[in-house]
Amino acid sequence: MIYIGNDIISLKDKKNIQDFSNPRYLKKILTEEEFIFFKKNENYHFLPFLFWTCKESAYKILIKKGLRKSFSPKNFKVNININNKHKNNGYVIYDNYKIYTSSLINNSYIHTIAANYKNSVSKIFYEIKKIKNISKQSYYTRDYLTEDLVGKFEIDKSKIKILKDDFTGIPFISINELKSDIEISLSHDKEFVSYAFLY
Amino acid sequence: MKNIKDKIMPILKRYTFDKKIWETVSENPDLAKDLKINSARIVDIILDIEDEFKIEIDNESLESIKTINDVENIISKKLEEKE
Repeated sequence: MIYIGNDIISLKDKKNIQDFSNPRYLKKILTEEEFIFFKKNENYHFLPFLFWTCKESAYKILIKKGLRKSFSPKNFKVNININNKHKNNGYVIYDNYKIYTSSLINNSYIHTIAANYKNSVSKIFYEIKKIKNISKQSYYTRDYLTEDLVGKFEIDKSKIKILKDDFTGIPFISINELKSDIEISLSHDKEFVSYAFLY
Repeated sequence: MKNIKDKIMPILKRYTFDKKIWETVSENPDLAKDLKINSARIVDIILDIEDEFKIEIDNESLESIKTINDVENIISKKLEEKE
């Protein structure tokens, strides 16, 4: 079974900047190797943000695979080649699991998509949108995704619902009141919302 | 003297985006699902708790935190270990 994850983080948000430049915060979320790598490459100020989105995306997949622990970012080890500022491929290790990632970096945000199979990452369809009303992030994420699903799968909008499993919090699509097997992932941070699905 | 829960409530409330949520939550809300606290802010909460109680919360403890009672239990355990 192919599972996907995605995560977006704002590089402009004051609280994010404050946290991700606080060494104590960083030591809670980065492995020692990641922390040293960042210290050696501090001109890449975005590295902690990048590591974070990779870890979160991988965590979302592991939850779908049955992990029932809360997110402990330091237990996720990121390995990434930063050779192209627009698309950076890598992987994340957690216990015996390996999750593959691809990250987009620009001046406003970092967005990562992930899958449990390497060749599935390039098959993920994703979108990133900027919204004005950040108190409605969840609404807009679902609304944009629904619009895309209508176009891609030719389904009547009124028949689509994007729901969350009460126990695990995993989002899923319901079509005609039936749980669909379309694999999706949702994310939002401040003015950015993103979603991904397999198409 | 304040008990653990009295001390952690202001910390949790500081990181709850929608303060109205507290009017309707159960006695033992889930931090992510019920209080809508995202994972980046949960790290903030952990740091504030470490400062408040002068303890250190390790990765394994962090993995077991879902609800307010979990937070309370971990703090009690860490305080006992300190004694």
